[in-house]
Amino acid sequence: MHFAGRILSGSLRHQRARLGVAALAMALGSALVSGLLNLSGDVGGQVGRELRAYGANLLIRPREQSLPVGSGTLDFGVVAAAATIQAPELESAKRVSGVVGFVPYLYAVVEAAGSPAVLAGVDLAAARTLNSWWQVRGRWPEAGDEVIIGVRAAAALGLRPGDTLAVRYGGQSLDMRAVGFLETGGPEEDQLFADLPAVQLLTGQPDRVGLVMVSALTSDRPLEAVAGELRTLLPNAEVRTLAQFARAEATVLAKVRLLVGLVGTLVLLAGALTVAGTLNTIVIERRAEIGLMKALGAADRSLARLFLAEALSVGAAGGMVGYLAGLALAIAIGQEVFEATIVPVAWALPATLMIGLVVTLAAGIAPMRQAMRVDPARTLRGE
Amino acid sequence: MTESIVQAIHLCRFYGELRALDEVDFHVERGEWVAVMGPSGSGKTTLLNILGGLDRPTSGALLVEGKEITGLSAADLARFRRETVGLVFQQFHLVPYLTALENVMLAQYFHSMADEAEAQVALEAVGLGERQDHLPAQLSGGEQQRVCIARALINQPRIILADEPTGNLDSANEEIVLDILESLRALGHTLVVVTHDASVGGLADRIVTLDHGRVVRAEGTVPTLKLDSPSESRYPPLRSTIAQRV
Repeated sequence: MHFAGRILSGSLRHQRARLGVAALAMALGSALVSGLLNLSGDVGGQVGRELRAYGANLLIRPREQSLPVGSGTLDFGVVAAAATIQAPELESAKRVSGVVGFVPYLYAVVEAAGSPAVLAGVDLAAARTLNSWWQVRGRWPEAGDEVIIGVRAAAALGLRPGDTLAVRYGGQSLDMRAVGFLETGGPEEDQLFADLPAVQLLTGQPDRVGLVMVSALTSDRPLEAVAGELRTLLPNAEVRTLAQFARAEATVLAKVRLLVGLVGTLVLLAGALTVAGTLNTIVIERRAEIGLMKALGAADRSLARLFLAEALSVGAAGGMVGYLAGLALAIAIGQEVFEATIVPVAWALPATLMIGLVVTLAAGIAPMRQAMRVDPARTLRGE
Repeated sequence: MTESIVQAIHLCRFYGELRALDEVDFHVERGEWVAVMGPSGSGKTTLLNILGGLDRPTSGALLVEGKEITGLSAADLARFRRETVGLVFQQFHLVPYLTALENVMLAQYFHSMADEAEAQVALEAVGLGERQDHLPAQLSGGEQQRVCIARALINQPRIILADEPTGNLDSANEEIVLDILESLRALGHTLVVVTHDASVGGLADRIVTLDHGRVVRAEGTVPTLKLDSPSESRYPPLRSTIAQRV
């Protein structure tokens, strides 16, 4: 071993209790840094996923088609035609990075139980996942002839759970059974919801979709970027961001990141102060030893190297222990708070160690300067 | 013909009102053993510190090998300490977490590079070959002082400065340490030894007595107290080992 290494290992052994306290302080700081880094690599995603529970933030709908209306030389102008999208066209859109929810709808105005009503065909499983706040009294439909009915529509139609209602569209008719009543606090309470293929069949629009609610994570890329990619993929569709949601998400994520940064900085500052205090005490206690080294002709840079090597050892040990503890903390928080498995972020280890070393070095500068100022003649006299 | 290796001219060191050294003129010849004596507070250690580059005089000049050292920068003074002087302390000042061998190697490390084999020879020279792996706390006071001497010698300094080298030792260990110093003198080393012990001073070629920071007497010593040749050493293994080395 290089002699400097022997000095370092001897010194570390000799002061293991005190340096252990400094390393522990760094470990605590590093643990929070590591925890926050591992979480923040994922906390944005986690918070984003949590926010995704509050519904779609993108809307895809077909461009309105204008049909010229007229007869012979008579031109009555244009009218908007109900447009739909071919469902197969949407397959590539589901795979766009960031898209975590994709709920196609097909709306039709039908006659239900003798009254006009809006029937929505929807991918029920996807809708249930995306709209987690929807409350269904009864159960969700499991067959093509089952329907859930918004509570206001049910009241208007005089329906009770288990009732069967005749649904007519054009010349088609379908008897459907009301298996649940839907409460959303929104306009969905005026509508009926059935499985998408059943509505497509009823309305004679197989494979057609009238609207898609999309939920995209905004932690890794801006919502507008996701929307742009969708627009490219679906040139015949209009892709709109639901601005209110997007702004709210951006604000929440920014605040979470700010909080993470502030807490991390404060914890590191506290760790740095502890390390600086410990190193300062060590310098005071080792004045005679430093004085001796200076008396033996040690150059300032030699002493600085020895001293900084000790500080870096503290930083490295504290950083390593802290990284592991922080990772465990992140995993625990991930499970308890976000109910998700935190995957270690690859750069969290080097980042934690680097931050720990930089903070320890910064904390060691003032004590090191104090060591450089030790007067060998006075300290060797015992003053 | 003798040659002054150290020449102090009108050396003063004041601490506020206290005149620790006051117009001290002092010289040491190459190969000479000079004892600096005087009561406590007379300025002995202050003089030694200035000779060793550990302190700077308030005024006056100090030439070592003809070179003025009082105006050296801190870095040059550090170089002077590691290349020119070997220091022996009353309190030994060994690094507690380093073994005897490593304490010797420490001086090598700061000088140029640590050489374990050479450090082992130096410890054997002071009779501590078997104790090289012991920590200072596992060594007696005399053994610690011998480690301190081995450390002072390891870089082959031109001047050895010893501050009360036997002050903390019992008579048996004092005898061993003095024997080592005598051996060094016999081998041509230049020694400046601060002591308040007349029997130690009596071994020197010359005694300089300080009082209240002034040189009050400079004289030779009683010849019969000195050993005349290495063969008369009270510590033969040391002498032969050092002779072989040098």
